[in-house]
Formats: sequence, structure tokens, C-alpha cells
Amino acid sequence: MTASPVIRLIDSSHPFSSVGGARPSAVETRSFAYIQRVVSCLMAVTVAGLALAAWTDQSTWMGLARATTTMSVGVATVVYLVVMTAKALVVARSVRWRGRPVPAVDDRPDHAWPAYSILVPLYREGQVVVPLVRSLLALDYPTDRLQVLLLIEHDDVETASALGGVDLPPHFRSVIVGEGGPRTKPRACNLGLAEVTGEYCVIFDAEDRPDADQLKRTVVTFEASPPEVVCLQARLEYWNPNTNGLTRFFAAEYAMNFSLYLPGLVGHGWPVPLGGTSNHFRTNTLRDLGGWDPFNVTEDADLGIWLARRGGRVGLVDSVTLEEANSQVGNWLRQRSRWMKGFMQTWLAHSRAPRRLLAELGWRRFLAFHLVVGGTWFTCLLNPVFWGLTLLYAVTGSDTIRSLYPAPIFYAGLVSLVVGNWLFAYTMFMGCMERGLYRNVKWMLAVPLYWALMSVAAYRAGLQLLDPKRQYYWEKTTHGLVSEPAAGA
Amino acid sequence: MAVSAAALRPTLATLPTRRRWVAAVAAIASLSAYVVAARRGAILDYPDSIAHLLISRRVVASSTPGLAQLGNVWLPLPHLLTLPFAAIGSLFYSGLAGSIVSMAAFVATAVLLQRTVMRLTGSCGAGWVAASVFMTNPAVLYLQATPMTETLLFACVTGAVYAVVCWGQSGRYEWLAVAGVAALLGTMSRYEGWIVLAGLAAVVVIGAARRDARTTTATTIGGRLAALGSRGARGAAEGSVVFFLAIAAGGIGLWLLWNQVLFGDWLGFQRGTYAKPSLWVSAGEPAVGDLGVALRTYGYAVTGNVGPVLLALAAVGLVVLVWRSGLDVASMAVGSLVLLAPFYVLSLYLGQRPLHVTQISGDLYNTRFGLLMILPVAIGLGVLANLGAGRAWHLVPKVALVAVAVGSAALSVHGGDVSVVREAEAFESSPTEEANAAAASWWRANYDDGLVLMEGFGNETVIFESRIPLDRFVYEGSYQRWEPALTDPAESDITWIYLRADDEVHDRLAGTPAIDRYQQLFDDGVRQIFRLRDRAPAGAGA
Repeated sequence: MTASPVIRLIDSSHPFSSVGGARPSAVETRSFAYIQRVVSCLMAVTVAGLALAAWTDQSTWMGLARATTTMSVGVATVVYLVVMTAKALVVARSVRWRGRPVPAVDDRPDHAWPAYSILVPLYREGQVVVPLVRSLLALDYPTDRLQVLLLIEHDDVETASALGGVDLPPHFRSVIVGEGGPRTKPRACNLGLAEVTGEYCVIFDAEDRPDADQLKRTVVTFEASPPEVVCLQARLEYWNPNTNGLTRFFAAEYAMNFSLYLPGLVGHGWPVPLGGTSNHFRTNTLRDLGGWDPFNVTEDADLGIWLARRGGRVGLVDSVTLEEANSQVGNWLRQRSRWMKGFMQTWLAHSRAPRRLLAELGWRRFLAFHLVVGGTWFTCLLNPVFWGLTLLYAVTGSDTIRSLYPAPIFYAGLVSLVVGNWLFAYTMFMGCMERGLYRNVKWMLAVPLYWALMSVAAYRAGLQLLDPKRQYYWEKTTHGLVSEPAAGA
Repeated sequence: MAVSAAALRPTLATLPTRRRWVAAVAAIASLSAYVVAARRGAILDYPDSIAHLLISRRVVASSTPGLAQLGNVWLPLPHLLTLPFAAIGSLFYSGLAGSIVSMAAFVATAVLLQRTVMRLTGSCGAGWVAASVFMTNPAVLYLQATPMTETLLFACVTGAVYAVVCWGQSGRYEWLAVAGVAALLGTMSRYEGWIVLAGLAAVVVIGAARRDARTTTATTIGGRLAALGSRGARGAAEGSVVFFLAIAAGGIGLWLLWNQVLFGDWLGFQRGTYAKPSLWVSAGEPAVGDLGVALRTYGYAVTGNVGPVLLALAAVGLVVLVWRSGLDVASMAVGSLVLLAPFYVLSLYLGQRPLHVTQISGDLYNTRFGLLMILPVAIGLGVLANLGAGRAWHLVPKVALVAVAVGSAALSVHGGDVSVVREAEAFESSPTEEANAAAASWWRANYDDGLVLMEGFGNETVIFESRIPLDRFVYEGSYQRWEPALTDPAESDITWIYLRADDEVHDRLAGTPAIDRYQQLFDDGVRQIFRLRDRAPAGAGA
């Protein structure tokens, strides 16, 4: 058994500024910008109006409340329609984009492959260390050109012990992340980035099983891409789509996201919120950009927007990384609420200076940013409100609810209800077809249940964001709930 | 004379598309036919064409405007597409509002037929033959110049078949979504679209199961059959058909829901007051209960529209298609169009639809039902035209078949033997329609404003030709205004009342005190027009 070299990194300065240029962070979302205050006030007025409409009998208050609420319903309906149209455009674009030629891996000599670094942030991942190391060892890349940095928190005895029992080759190094805050994955990655020696680097999560030739494919794709393509995202798939109903939905959603949605965004040249893991970077560009925002709990999505703002582009590499689909509702909710919170942080952080954002992105990508990042959590927050109104009207036939929908809003809402819901459900159908999960297609008829869970996660995320103690709290997702060999695809 | 399998399954990249040329030729044919029909004053000869226009315009201009004016008898897509044009008075009254939709659908169908046959045969020329057969058919040319809904159905189902053929050849599931959209539009155009949808769903099930079973290493028939019924094959079939129907069946689902929510009956379109078959199918229909007569009736309707020679040659072409392709997805998809023939025969036998041909009942009624076979006929002739592919004489069958199609059309037109046109002209010149025109003409000259109480059903031509604004009519589709007006018209601000013998207004008001306050101004024995006695004439001031 060979002891791997260990580096200890102490968090002596703000990690975010230590690796590169300063830029607004999620931490600054504490002080809401003017526009965010206006939006918040409008939302508060809407809620107040709705409450008044329900509880007050005074006609003047009722009139005011109804007018406010009708206006809010109209705005929300327009948002739904715009998000729906954008989604349709993105998915339609992906069909064409996917037909492009894919560069093939060549058989160049080992020394001709560029130096490559892999960052693997780990926290309490003792259960999955062995399969992780096995999958990293299976990567087809010259080991003398490869650097693997296992990033371990200083007090993570579980992972450290598990790693102690594994025979690691020389190109693996354990990096101990010292004390400091916030205790998040991006902070660990930023510290790891300082140790990276490769021309390219990639983040893998503990439960990842990348295709063996993923690094080589990435290199040839980078070489075939224009220089402004500074990041390549690999496709993430779950290796346990059929564990239970939740994993069926989750797998379909991932297939839709990585096979249809991201290709569509890339095809349009819109900002791409990166997907957590298996994103490969040109190291220098990543350093120039300042690494990841340690306060953002979806630091990758935030980084994707920064790439776009700095004129960089994201591409896709035709390679798959297998992951474990979350199969427990509680664990899923923790993971999803972190994602939702991260998207909220990202939207707030980038919206602080809207004129600057507009100047950097241009109006199309500016709009796309709001739809892709803001629309995701906003619609999840809105859905229960409108489902509730629809249900309430169906049961009571309330004139108050009817009065909120003048003819134009009613017809627009009807289109949104029928076409919008159907469109979003159908993209899940397409996700199943994309991965050949034919037997799961019929499950997608019940996808509103999954959407309801997403709304629960969105509200949980919103409440956490409002709680100063949990604003940047990184909710840990437990991996290894389903053992890989037992999980049928 | 052998055509290789490769020729039957070409890669589209190797084919010249020539889509624009087909569209241009079809557009010229369409416009020419419209001009001819318009100059003969035949655009609105079918009473149904007027009824379609009225439905569209009422959505935006009626005493109770809104989408509910679409009603629940006819499927809504033709009316929704016509709506923006029908809102313009000149397009509405000329009929062009509906013709625009039909003509656009005609062009789309020609293009899709050409592309479908190109997919089936690998021959651009064969595609042109199919498109030519369709574009030169006199009955099609006439109907596409009118607001009738057949050509819209043609475009939708041809699009669905084309997409399923593409799915069968490429395996790309996106084509199933395209097929689903086209089938959805078809099911919202005419009820025949529902039958084609059922056929295509079956094709998707079989095609997906076969595709999965193709991976089997079994060489025996038993082994292959077992692979076809394997869990994987069943899963592929289930997933594919759900994926297809999730779009394609959506229109039917919404239509049932529409019927329930607005009319209180899921099947209101089939058994509602203005939808039940007994309204059209009389007791003495010869085809009802007699399968032989039903079969011959539909056969005569098809030959009356397509011609016996083309029909026979197309049958040979379809046999060739099946013989060569071995009942693959493409040939089964084309077969789903043929499925309409047994559907119609069964409908006639069960008394669900009336269809009259001179050979059986001595008159013509709904003969355009037979025209639906033009699609498989065009495809069959396209396939037949590809005989000789790769040989020096490969152009001969193509030229010959186009010549036969053109010759057949010329003979029909010259002999005045286009049954659809004859039927429309007979409608227009019937004593009933002449009397309707006379009543409308009188009313047009004497109407001086005010609300009109009148049943819409059966009186469409009078409403249309009277030129009275549609928002002046209180009719059976006037939400919450119809019943009060029938009970006490004067109290409901009704100035004019139109009664036709046996219509609902007649049944409810004739001879009652409620009509005593009205003066009868027109009576031809069947139609009566009343006007409120004590209402100040228009222009007399308030």
C-alpha cells in the first residue's frame, strides 16, 4: 500500500479573491439592489391584495385588492407564456444542434496529450470512495499527464479513513482543506484550483462514473472548438433510473436537461448554467475568471453565467458521466432545495446591476438569463398558487376567482394551462425516449406530482435564503443509497 | 425490372428535394381552380361551406361572441384557422376566408405526397407523379377552392403518414412527435382523422416492437416471434405509442372535455341535438343494414371521384409496395389511409353517415367521402411510377401515369362527370335553395335593424345571404339569450322572427300569443318572416 502525498491548505484569505479577479458574489445578495426591492414590494403587495380579497368585506379594499391581484395574475400569465415559448425554442433548437459532427479520439502518442487535472471535492463520502477511485483509475489517459486532487475537509475523518485504506497511485493526491468558511464545495474547489497543474481541469463528484475516454474526447473537442469555448460540459446520466418512481422522474429530467435543454441553450448561444460536475475547463481561463463563488450553493450555474458575461462560450462533449439518482424523497428535497437556492442566489447576484448585465450579455442573452435562471425557481414558486386557484374555482365556482381573469388573461391562462403544462410534461417524455427508457414514458403522465415536489423544494429554498443562518448553508446530499451492481437500468 | 431494397429506403441527403417547385406548381393549380370556381359562382355551392364560415365569424361577431361559438358538432380546427380571415367582411361574404385555408392545405398536401413517395421509392420523379395525380383531380381542385374541410384533413393525415414513414426509416423518435402533431391537427379537422390516428397508433406499436426485436440473434420463426413478444419489445412498443399518443390523442381528449364542460355530454358531438345521425340518415337508406349495398355505394363514390382506371392502377402500386417492403412501417402507414374505406362502409351499414350515389339511390349526397381515397391512390400510383427505376426506360411509366391522370381528369371535366361538383351544383339549384335565396333576398332589401330570432341549424344560407350582421341574430348558440327569446321575444328586444316549417322557432312560437305582437311580412308556405308591430322604424329617432 502506497501512501499518497497529502497537501494541507489553510484558508488564510478570502478564497474567492485569492484565485482571480473580483466580481459580485452571492454573499452580496444580502443587500438587495433597488430593482430587487421593487420586485419584492410588488410581490408583497400581491400577497396582501390576495389576502384582502379573501378576508375583507369593504368594497374599496376589495376593489383595490382585486385590481392588484388581477394585474399580478396577468403578469404571472405572461411570465408563464414567455418561459413556455423559450423552452419550446430551446428544445426545438437542440434537435438540429445534435446533428453536428463529433470529433473522434485519435491515437496520438501519450506524450502528445496535454496535462489534465481532476478535482474531486469530498465530504463524508467514505461509502463511495472505493468505487470512485476505481472509476478514476479506469480513465483512459496517460497517467504521467494526469493529476487527481481529492479535496477533503480537515475534519472529515470518515473520508480520510476510507482513503487511508485505498492504494492510490502517484498521480493521485489528497488535499486537506483547512478551517474557514463557508464550508462549501466551491471553496474546496477554489483551494484545489491553486494546486492544479494541468492545461485542462475538470470537476467530478464522489459518485461519478465518467466514460473511460471522457478526458481524451474532451481534449479533441477543445482542439476542434474556437478559443472562446472555455468550458465543455459532459452529459450526466443516472445509472439507477428504475429504482423507484422518484428516480424515474429524476432520470427523465436529467436526460431532458442534458440531451435537449443544454444542447438547445448552446445552439442558441445563450448562457448555460453548468451542471455541477463533469464540466471541463481551460485552466487559465478558469483562473482568470476567479474560480467559483464559495457562497453560491450552485457555484457551477453561477460560473456558467460569468463565462457568458466575459464573452466565453460553453460547449458540450459527447461523453457520459453516470451518477446515482437520488431515491429518497427527503434526500432529494435537500438536494433540490440547494439547487433552487443556488439559482435564486445566482439570479440575485447577477441582477444587482441589470444595466451592466445587459451591456455584457446583449438583450437576447439577458432575457435568456432571466428565463433560464430566474424562470426556473419563479415558476416553481408560482405553480402552487395557480394550481390552488384552479382547484378552488373547480370546487367552489367562486366569482371572486373568475373576476381575476378578464377575457385576455383567461385565454392566455388557458393556453398556458393546456399547452404549457403539456409542453413541459412532453419534454420529460422526450427525456425517456432519448435514453431508451421506454417503460418509464407512461410514468411521465404523473409528472405533476414531481412538479409539486419541486415547488416544495423551491419554497424551502426561499425560506432558507431569507434565514441569515442558512442563507449559504450547503445541504449535504447523501450518496450510496443504492448499490451500483443492484441497480438495473 | 427489379428495384433494389436500397432504392426503397434512400437516405434523404442523396435526394434532390424540389419542394419549392412542387409548392409552386400546386399554388398555380390551386389559384387557377379557385378563379374558375369563383367565375362560375360555385365557391359556396355546398351549404356546409356557408355553415363553416358562419361558425368562424360568430366567434368574433355574434350576439354572444367567444370560443363557445365553435359549438360541438364540427371539429374546431378549420374554423379556428378561418377565423382571422372570416373577421374581414369581404373575405367572409366571398367565401375566400375559408378557401384560403383549403388552398394552403392543398399546396401542403401536394408537397407532402411528393416527399412521402420520395421516401418510399427514392425517386423524385415518382414523388412528382403522386403529387400530379392529386393536383389534377377535378374534385380535389374544386373542394380546395371552397371553405370545405377535406383538404385540411388531407394535409394533416398526409403529414402524419410522412412523419411515421420517416420514423420507420430513421428510427429517430422526434419524427413520432412530428407525426403526433400532424395527427393531432387531423383529429381536430374531421372525424376521419380519428380513424387514421387509430391506424397509425397500431403501426407505431408494431414498428417499435419490431425494431427492438431486430436485435435478436434468433434465426427461427419461433425465436423471432418470441423476440417480438419479449419484455424489451413490449416496452419499446408501449413507450413509443404513449409518446406518439401523448400528442396525437390530445385533441380528441380536449374535444371530449369541451363537449362535457360546455354541453354536459362527453359524446355530445355524436348524440347532441344537432349532431345525431338521425338528422341526416333517413329511415329508408338502402345501405343501412345491407353490407353489400354499403360496399357498392362507397365503391361508386370512390370511382366517381378518382376514376376506375386510376383506382385499378393505384391498387397495383400498393400491392407492389407491400410486396417489396414486406409490410414494414412505411407500407403500414400508407395502409392506415386505406383504413378509411372500411370505416365508411361500416358507417353506411350502421346508419351513422349518409352517402348517396346515382347508381344506388338515384341522387348524389356526400359523394366527397369517396374522395378521401385520393391519398392512397396518389401514393400507389407514385410507387407504380417507379417501376423501371435504374433502367433506360424509367421515365416511361412516370410520363404514362401522369398522362393517364391528366386524361382522366380532362374526360371527367369535359363530360361534366365530377360527382362532387355535380352534387354541389345540384344543391345550389335545388328548389329549397332557390326558395332560401328568395327569402334572403327579400329580407336583405327590407331589414331595417333590430335583433333577429332565428334557428341557425338548417337556415345557414338565409342568414348568410341576407347580409344581416351576425351580432343581430339570437340563435340556438346564443348563450342564455335563446330560451328567453323563444319564451317572450318582444320582452327580449327581438324585432324580427324567422320561422321555417318544423324548425324550433316554428315549433315554439307558431300560433302562440307571443307572436301576435309581430306582423308577418314574408311567407312562401315554408318560410315566414315577422317584424315587431309597434317598433319605431329605423331612422325615426328614439
